[in-house]
This record gives sequence, structure tokens and C-alpha cells, in this order.
Amino acid sequence: MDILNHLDFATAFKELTPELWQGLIIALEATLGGFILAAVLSVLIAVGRLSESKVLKGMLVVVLEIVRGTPLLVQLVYMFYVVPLLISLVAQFFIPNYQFQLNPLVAGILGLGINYGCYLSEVVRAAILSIDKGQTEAALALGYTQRQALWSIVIPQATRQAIPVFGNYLIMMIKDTSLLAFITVNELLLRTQAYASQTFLTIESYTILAIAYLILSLPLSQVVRLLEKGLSKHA
Amino acid sequence: MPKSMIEVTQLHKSFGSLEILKGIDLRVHQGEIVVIIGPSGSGKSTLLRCLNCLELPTSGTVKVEGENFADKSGRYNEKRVARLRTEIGMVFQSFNLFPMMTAIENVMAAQIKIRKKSKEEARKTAEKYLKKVGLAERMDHYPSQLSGGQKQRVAIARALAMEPHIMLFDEATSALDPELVGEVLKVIRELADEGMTMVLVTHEMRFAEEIGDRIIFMDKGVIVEEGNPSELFNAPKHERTKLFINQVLHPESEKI
Repeated sequence: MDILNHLDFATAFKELTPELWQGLIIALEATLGGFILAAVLSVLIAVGRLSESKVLKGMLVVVLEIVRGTPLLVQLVYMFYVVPLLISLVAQFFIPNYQFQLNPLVAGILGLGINYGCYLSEVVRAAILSIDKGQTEAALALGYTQRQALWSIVIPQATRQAIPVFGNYLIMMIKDTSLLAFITVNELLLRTQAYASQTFLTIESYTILAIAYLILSLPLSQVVRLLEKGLSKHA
Repeated sequence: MPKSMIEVTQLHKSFGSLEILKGIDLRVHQGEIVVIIGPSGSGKSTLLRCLNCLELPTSGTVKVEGENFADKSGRYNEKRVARLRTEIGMVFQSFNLFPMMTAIENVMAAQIKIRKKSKEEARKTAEKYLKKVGLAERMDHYPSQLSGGQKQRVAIARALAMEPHIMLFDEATSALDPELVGEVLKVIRELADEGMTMVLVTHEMRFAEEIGDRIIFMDKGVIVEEGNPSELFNAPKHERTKLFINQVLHPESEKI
């Protein structure tokens, strides 16, 4: 029971909290960037998969299968370590000795954005398909083209429907930013690891970290629930 | 000779191997009110939807105010079709209002997006037509806050705000509770009195008789008989027409 006697939450809390604030800012930056990218991608992928072009549809299915068939962590590592090498390789045909580098946070945002974009595209696609065909017909009858009807009548309704699900994915993404520790992004987990290994306050550090994530995500789930209620009004 | 607003020649429409329309010829003159009746599955809704190319003809032509929906090479260019559709208002059985917009926004949307009107202009026009259909008090309500009859009147205002030359009504009152049918028919009647060219598909036989300049009876993809209302309802020539009118006017005798 020696460990119990040496627990020092007070010190860990005092020293780790400022670090966590710093890490939180980076995690939120990653989430903001990643989620905006994911949202844009999800709509584009969904629309692409509903298009007439078989080539486009085929390509998107391949991308989706790759993204869904590999772990997010592997994708992040690939984005950070491998993609810059590949780009450098190609670029060196044109510019000798060119070295392309990706900022870890940017790599993280790209990795999270693409991964979440693929999953969210299924949500958007289902939402688009669930919109009554009469909506498109009404727009067409008023003189809209198919594309105008899709973008100004169907997609606004579909995204509205998808927002609560998007909210849940947003909370998941905040938690998944902890994976960015593996590609040297100085977010909460990496900072906690560093602190714990310096001070040996292992139990204290990681407990505080876990609680910090909880404090972050619980109110957000509440917000999503409220959103869901508010949006179902005029659906 | 009054101007020809709609001209349909040898129109055929198939869905897969199923032929719904089997060679329809139809001409609608300016200010004329044509009512299409017939049993379900007769192709009357499909015909109406061909008039604004919501269904593309398998063969044959549809002309609006002398302009063919298909271009010279026989293709249906989307922009061309969309442009011609702006001259034709359509009202659907299921209203199809845009649920995320208020009544007035529903009426404004296409004016801004398609007619490129300014917001203020569109709002003025929208107010005018919402007043016309008796919904001045409900402009800021969402569709979910309106009754069926009110929704359908907003849908009519939305179509009218594009200031079309022709109006199509596809069973506009079929989805309404009986006590709400009257308010919608009243609006349609007013339009008729103003000289709007209209084609209606309806099950309201009394209304058809009262409002129609010409009644068309369709069955199995062809026009069986057409004529003025009193002729067609009181002295139908064809056996099928007789049977249908008898069944509709005396539903209780149907099974005997």
C-alpha cells in the first residue's frame, strides 16, 4: 500500500493543469480544422457517390474501403511520415533535393479530416436519400436544375438531419485527437506522458487527463442532445 | 383561333417494358381549363407530369407556347427544360413545401434563385400571392405549423409567384381532409375566373364538371373520350367512360 501513501494529486494537479490547457488549445485546433475538412469532404463524397458517373463512384468506393479498412492511428502515422516522403519523391523529378515536410498538426488535421469525412459521408448519403423525392420535383417544377435543386433544397435539409449525428462524431474526434500524440503533436496526452515520466506521478497524471477529457465531452453531449431537439422542430 | 399553350403530339411514355402512355395528342389553348379524369393507373398523372417534363417522353413531343422541350437534335437539355418549366406552375398532391423555410420563404425562394429578383422584390410578390390565397396571416409560419389546406394554398402561391402562363394541378386536393378541400378549390376557381390556362387531374367530379372547359377521360394510356363537361358527364359515348362515371358518381353500386 506504499503507492497510496505517495499519491500526490495536489502537486500533479497544480503542475499538470497549465500544461493541459496548452494541450487543449492544440487539440481544439486539430478538432476544428479536422472537423471542417471532414464536413466538407463528407458532403462532396456523398454527392459524388450519388452522381451518374460510374468512374467517380468506383474511385470513391475504393477510397472509402481503404479508409474504413485501416486504423485511424495507422492513417495518421502514414500521413505524417510517409506522405511527405512520397511527395518529395515525386517533386524531386522537377526540383533536385526537394524535401517536403508536413507540420505535425497539419498532418493530424488532414488525417482526422479524411478519416471522419469518409465515415460522415455515409451519414450524409443516407440523409440525402431520405429526403422525399417530392422536394426535388417541386424545385424542378419551379425551374431549378437538378444541381440547383440538390444544393439549395435537398442538401440543406439533409445536413440539418445529419447534424445530431455530426455532433456525436465531433465529440469522438475531440477524443481521437489524443492519437496525434503519436505523430508528435503536443496535445494533452503527449504532455501528460512527458510530465508523468519526469515526475513518476503516473496514477495522478493519467487520472487527471482522463477526467479532463470527461469534463470536455460531457457538456458537449448535452449540447448535441439539445440540438437534436431544436432541429426536429421543422424537419 | 386562340393561342396554343400546350401541344402534345404522339406522346408515348414507358417505364421499363411497361407502357403508360400510348400515343397521346392534346392541345390546350390560352385560357382553357382542361380536366383529366380516369381510373387510377390510367396514365393521367404521368401525362400531366410529361407536360412540364418531370417525366421525359419516351417518344413524341411536348411543346409549350410553341417551344419544344427537346432541342433540335431531340435531346432534353437540362437548362432548356428548366427555363421552359418556369412558365409552368405545378401543384402536387403532397404539397412538397420546403420544410425548412417559412411560408413566405417558400414563395420567395425560386423568385430569387431562378428569376434573379432582389429579396425586397421577391418579398413583395410573395406577399401579394399569399394574400391572394388568403394566407396573409400565416406568412411566417413553417409548413409544419400549417394545416393541409393551408399548405396547399402556400404551394399554389409559390407556383403563382413565378408568374407562370400555365398551371398544372396533380390531384391537388386528394391528400386533404374533406373539410379542407373547399378552401383549395376556391383558390383554383378564382384562378380559373382570371383566365389562367390550367390542366388539372382530379377526383372531384363535381368540381371538374363545374370548372372545366373540356374534360378528358383517360384509360389504359389513351384518351378514350373528350368533350365539354355536360356532354361527357351526362351523355358519355363510350362504354368505358359510362362505367367510370357511373362508378364515381354512385360508388355504392360498384360491387353489385
